[in-house]
Amino acid sequence: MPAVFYLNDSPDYREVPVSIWVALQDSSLYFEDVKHHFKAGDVVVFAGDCHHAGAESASETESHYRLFAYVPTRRIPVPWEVKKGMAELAKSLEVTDKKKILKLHSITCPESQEGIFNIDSFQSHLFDAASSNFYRFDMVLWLSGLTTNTSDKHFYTPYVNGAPVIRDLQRVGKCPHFDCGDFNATKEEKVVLNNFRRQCKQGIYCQGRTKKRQREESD
Amino acid sequence: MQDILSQIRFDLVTDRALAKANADHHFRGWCCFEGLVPDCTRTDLLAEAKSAVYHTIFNRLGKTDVVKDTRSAAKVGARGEQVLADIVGILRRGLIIGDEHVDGLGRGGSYLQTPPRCVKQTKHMDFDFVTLRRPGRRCTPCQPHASSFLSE
Repeated sequence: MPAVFYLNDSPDYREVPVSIWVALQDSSLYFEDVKHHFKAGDVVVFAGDCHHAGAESASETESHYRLFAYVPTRRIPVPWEVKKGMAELAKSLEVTDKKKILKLHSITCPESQEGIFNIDSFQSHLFDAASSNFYRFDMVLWLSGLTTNTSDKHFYTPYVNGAPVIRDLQRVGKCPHFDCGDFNATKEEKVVLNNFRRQCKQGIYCQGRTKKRQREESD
Repeated sequence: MQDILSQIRFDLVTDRALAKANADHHFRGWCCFEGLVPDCTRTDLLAEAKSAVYHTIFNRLGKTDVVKDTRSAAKVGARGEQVLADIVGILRRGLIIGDEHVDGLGRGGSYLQTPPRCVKQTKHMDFDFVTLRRPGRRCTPCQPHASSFLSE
């Protein structure tokens, strides 16, 4: 039996897998049930735990196209499994050699230690966590096995009046958007975040929010 | 000035644009870089997308019979992969992704095709955070598969 883990909370910043969606034609996407329109050439990036619904095709005769890619993390893979109807193809591609399977378990695991994980072996095989089986990579098997999650858990808040909600405005003495702790930032990255904070205060979301924290009686 | 050979409008990716994208992504869950793919690249990609060979995908957990959710996908060519690699580079620069996002784990890009008159898809998340099924090989310390093979 494969082990099943349950993640109760969303991962920290920059540990969340993302998806890249490029509009090749004027298009739309739903985020949190709100329809957003995008122009051809726009690039949309959304978090792997962000609720969305795919593009419609209003045309009576024309299909609609866009470019898409998953950007998973070491820990959170692209959801994939052998589905009904693909069993025959999967069987023909299944890796059955036990020694090879044992080796694949370590060299295709992105969480393996540096030097053990082999990206070429990873890319040339598919792993079904439900059955714990390996398959030689095949584009049809890969595409047909992609899946998603339909959980009701919500990790993000839609913007109100076009900007993020910042609670307790009286207490906001600095831009709260790029806290180094949230990013587990290195020294170099802290410089980037400080630059972002400066940009934010100069007209992105924190314009005018330079009010210092009110002195309280207890201070 | 934009490099005439560039697949992406890097000139649009200013510190300000990155800061906004970063805030949007982490607060709202998504961000947008407007007009990042220039028309010359986009039209080439669209032509390639229209002539690609598609396979039906059933974009819903455990479901293979929901017509509403039916989409098709096809493998992208080298130019599409280059565009996506450029975008990944921008996301790294903007601290939207980090070291956990290893290049190649996504198995490349795909073109998605929605058939005519297709309606709004079922609301979903692309990755499974809630009932994430992690392979037994990552279960420590039991490692059930490894031990069963070694004993034979």
